[in-house]
Amino acid sequence: MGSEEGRSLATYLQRLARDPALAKEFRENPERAMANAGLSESERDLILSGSALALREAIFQELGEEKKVQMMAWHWPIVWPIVWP
Amino acid sequence: MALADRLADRLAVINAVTPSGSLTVVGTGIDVGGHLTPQARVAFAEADEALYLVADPIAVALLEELNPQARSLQGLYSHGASRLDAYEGMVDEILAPVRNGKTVCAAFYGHPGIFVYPGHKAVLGARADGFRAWMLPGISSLDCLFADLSIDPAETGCLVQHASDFLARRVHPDPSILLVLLQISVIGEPGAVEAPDWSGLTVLVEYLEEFYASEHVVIAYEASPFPVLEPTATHVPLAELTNADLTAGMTLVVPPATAPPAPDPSIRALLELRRAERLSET
Repeated sequence: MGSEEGRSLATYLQRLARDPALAKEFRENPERAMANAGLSESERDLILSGSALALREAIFQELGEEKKVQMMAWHWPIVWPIVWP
Repeated sequence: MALADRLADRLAVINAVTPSGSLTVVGTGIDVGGHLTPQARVAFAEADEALYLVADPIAVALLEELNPQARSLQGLYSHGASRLDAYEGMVDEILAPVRNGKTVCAAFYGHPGIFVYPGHKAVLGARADGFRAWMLPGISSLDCLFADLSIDPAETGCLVQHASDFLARRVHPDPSILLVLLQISVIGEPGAVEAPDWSGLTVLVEYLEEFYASEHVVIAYEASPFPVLEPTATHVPLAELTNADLTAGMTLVVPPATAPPAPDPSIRALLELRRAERLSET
């Protein structure tokens, strides 16, 4: 996937995060919502694949290397310790 | 002295003895766009110091948009080092600006007080030093789980535990109630790691097989962080769990394997007796 597509995906997800009405539109008709957002066929396929990991990987293309390293260290930062005696 | 004057005097005394710094710890939910509450949004946006620990770049973008000075706590993890040390470092990082008189907001993904060591610790630490501190709830992965899997924990009762603690303490599950084990991708791992380690899962499965049949179907579940994705719910026999396609953030759901015990008539009779006694007293 090219960097342009990564930018488009990240932008779309950020718009969804800001506007709950867009998320509602997606829930009700994903194909139409993605077409309205101008996503490419490969971006639509990526979303429809249902892989959060793949989606994260794609949107990292919009981010700088520093932030990518910071975020990729652990996809799901655990916040509870294990302390063995 | 008029009431308004007395209240003003009292407020002045309170302000004089209460340090000016404050802390609000908030949860961003799992899907930050849809789950961030209005109260949490305002607390984060208006903070002098805004700190966050979230799991995806869209959440980062939204939080940094809300408060351009916001900074991540993620750098406190050190590969291979104790996670507990990282969490203590987070508490220090959160409390330092509070002690300098700043209005501080710390945001954690999910609910900031559920499986979040630094969340309560920071709030209690701030209060112990005399500062005002609050925790605002967020939508946790457990909340998503009950919604996505159509399970109401009231039906059978529910035991929720950290997978490592469950195993290490040899907790005896009741097969008639729902069992939910979190963080199955790092069982027994006290350090910060950069990838899941599934080796501990084999030990957990062996232990669970002491209480459940190998063919009992369990669910490996992960909530969706984005509104465009469905949650992941992999149904698999217990014995096959380690061969399933699992992801780092998954939670193990073990549905009840047996019917719950029938209600005890003697308890009902006792409750009715106590109720009758209370009514006769009034």
